Amino acid sequence: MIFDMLRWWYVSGWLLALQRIATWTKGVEQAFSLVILLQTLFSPWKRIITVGGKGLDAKFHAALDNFLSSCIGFVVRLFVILGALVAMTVVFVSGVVIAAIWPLLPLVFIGAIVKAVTG
Amino acid sequence: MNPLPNLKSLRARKARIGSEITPAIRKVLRLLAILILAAAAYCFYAGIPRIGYLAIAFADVIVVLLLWYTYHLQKLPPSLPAKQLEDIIDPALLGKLKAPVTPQRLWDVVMKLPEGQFMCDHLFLHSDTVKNNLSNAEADSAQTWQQAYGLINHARTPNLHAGTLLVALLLTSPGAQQYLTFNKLRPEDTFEALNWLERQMELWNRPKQNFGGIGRDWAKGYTPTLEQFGQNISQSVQYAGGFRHYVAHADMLDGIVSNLARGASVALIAPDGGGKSTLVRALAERLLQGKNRELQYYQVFSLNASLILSYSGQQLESLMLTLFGEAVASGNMILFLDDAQLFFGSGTGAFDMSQILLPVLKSRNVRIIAAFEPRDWQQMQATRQALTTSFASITLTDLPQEEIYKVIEDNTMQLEQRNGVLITFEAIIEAYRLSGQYMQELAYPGKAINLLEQSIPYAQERVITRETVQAAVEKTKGVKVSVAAAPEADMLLHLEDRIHERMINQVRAVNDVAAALRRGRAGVSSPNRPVGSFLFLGPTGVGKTELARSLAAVYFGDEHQMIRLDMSEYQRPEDVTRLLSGGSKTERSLLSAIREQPFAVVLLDEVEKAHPNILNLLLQMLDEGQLTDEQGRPASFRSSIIIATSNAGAADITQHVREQGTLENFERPLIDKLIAAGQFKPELINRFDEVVLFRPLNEDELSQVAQVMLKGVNQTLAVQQLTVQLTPEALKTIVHQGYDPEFGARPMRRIIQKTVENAIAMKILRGQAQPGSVITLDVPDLTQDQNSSDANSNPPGNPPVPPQQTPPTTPQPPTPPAAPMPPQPPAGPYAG
Repeated sequence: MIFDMLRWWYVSGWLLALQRIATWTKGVEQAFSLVILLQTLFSPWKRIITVGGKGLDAKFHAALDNFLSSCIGFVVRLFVILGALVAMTVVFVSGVVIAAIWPLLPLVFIGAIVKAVTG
Repeated sequence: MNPLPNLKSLRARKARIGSEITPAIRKVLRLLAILILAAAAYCFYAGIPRIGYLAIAFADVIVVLLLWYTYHLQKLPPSLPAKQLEDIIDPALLGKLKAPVTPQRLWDVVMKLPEGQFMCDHLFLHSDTVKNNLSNAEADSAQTWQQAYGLINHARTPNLHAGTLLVALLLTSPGAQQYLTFNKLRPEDTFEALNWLERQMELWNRPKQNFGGIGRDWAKGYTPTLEQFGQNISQSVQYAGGFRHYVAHADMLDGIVSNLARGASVALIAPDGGGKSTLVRALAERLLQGKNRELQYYQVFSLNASLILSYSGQQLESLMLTLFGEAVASGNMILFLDDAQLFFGSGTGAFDMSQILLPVLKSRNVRIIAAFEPRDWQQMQATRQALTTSFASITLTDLPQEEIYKVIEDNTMQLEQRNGVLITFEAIIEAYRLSGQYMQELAYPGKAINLLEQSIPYAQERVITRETVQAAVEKTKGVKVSVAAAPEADMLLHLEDRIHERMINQVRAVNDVAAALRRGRAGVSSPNRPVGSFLFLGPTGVGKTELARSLAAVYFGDEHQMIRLDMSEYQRPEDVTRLLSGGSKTERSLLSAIREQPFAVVLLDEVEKAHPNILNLLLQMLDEGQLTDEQGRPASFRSSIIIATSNAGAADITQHVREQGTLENFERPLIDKLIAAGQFKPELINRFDEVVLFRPLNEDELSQVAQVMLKGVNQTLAVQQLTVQLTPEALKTIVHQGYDPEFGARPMRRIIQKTVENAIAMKILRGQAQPGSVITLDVPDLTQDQNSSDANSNPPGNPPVPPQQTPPTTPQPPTPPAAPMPPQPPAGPYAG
């Protein structure tokens, strides 16, 4: 039984821990919809646009409004993208740490017992 | 392969460990690990590192054990390809198995697991009764395991769980099989319930889907008006982590997606309950999954027609423009118009927005899914061709029965959760059957789901069974569908006696009708035809209508449960429309009447006088038990008794009775003669359950008729504590006056009114009748008061054709007992 448990731990279990790095990171990316944010980075904020009138002045004002809307969209999205990247990094690093610690966990028991006995 | 699972195998031992780590134990272990780690930290701080290391070792064991349980033991996937039986046994079940494994012990284990409980509850089994029917010998369990293994071959996943084992236990025990049969369940029903469980397990175990977050939400524009007047279906699917329901018509989704992807709008055509809304929800999920690039970030938004149409005129037009404007500006919106006909001027409270919608559709600026019923779509095609050609129409076909069951079962789970009830599998079967019979205005699977929903208030102890569904149909539709219980069964067994309480003689006619009704009510005759259909032939005033009225009173509980049509008013071809109009017209048509009163006697007087087109419609009514109105909506006659009356052949009947004294074996020659004379078509005659001949009445019978009517008068007088009786001579006078060779006993009611009732009225007014007294009327009383009140009444000096000319033919029924008569019958026993 113990042998079977260790076999699972160092084969399927460890593989699962490695897979979780990708799953967790992808989960954060999806929560922020990073791809959509990048695709729509320069789009007007909430698709708020002004349709230009006939005169040059109206056209200019419309272009200015749309530029402003795009600027707001860019700034908001940029901050969110940065936030998403930070969150993804944290999750990725945590996953890597867990995957790295994983094979050590059964050994911790032996090490701790040895240390307890030898001092 | 060993027919029994090896409980000493590694997988079995792991499953046992897994089953022993209960949620409570897990909680304790987690807490313990934290406490030990805290203690270890304290030990290091306090300068006793050896104890600290020891604590870490303990905590590490607990953490490793918990991780092993969470990611391996709890799930323990099947070992495939399976070499031993235990390789495919669900770990929860395997972990609870202990030797000796007898069928009875297996049942105990099954009952402890949710899958077993689901099956037991939904098949409405009494656990102890089933257990007592199972063997307690270990050798018998081999057959059960073999059966369970066989079931796995047809299952969706190679997983032998408690539900599979329960079915195997039921099917391998003769006692349990008998119990199933007693509960009207077939082995196929247990298979279907098992499939239901497995589909639900698949839905429950499906992980929540992540459809994207902040970025997706920001990709669409502001839609404040749309949000006020509609519902974002995509958002609700997104929050639920997916559309966790069985989707029928899934193959149609591809067609919808490809049409929407090329910018077209879609008209979904299906009757109410046909699955249009479900399909749109499944579409929302498909779009959220982002597999189609053209529609990757599109959202489906359903408009609330009733809320929008609460506005009117200019305000409504402006609102519609705003809604479409927002949808266009949003850039990724698909509008769903449920009950779309309301937006196109069809139906009550509708508004015609064709002129607003047409440019939107043509420009393809916004995609629309409009749900129509077939008849509304046909109307649209006829009246607004430009609009209908702008839609890509997709018609949802009728689902096969097994698909319908899947959808009903899926919705059953929602109904159970929402209402805190248990809906048994037999209730689902019954809802499917009865909704098919009595809810023709809706389509499957919606109508069966609707019926289950309607059954919830009738649930006993929060369980909905076959009987609950029957009760719901009986209460909401006014029909009888349950097995005739004691009082009703007794009534059916003595139907003839009950009818004869109101009906004199015509023994043969009454017997024929009663036998046909018993067949219908016992469920022996076809459920797709009327309960009974009869053609009554005979002279006027011999009791044809009275028998119909008696049937309504005895069988349906009220003589007003009768829809009466004089077919002589339907002699022109255009009268077909009048007969079939859907009730929207001012006049109440046959179909609107039967929809209001499906559990009734439909009396078609003088049927032979109707136009041939109408007689052709009757063929359909008698054959299929339903007619369809102008709008294509069916109306059911399957709970009604159809009676057509005719005087055709009356002279032949009278002559035959005079010559032979009986109508025995006269039906066939008479029918042949009527067919040869062109009065009836053979296809119409052959569709009636019975052709019943009514013979003319003799003097003795007329006397009994008069006595029955007199009973009605006494019933009325009972309030004033008065009783009236006639001398034999007075009775004879009334019989003579009440009979007419042309109208039979029809004048009897009028004569009793003008003689007996008048005489009593005079006596009461003169103070000659005191409460508690018995008024005996003789011939002078009748003639005196009759003459004084109505000099034009039928005088004794103008005698009718003496009834004694008609010889008695059939055995006489006993004199009707003083029995339940309505206080004041609206018509006499022979008002036919």
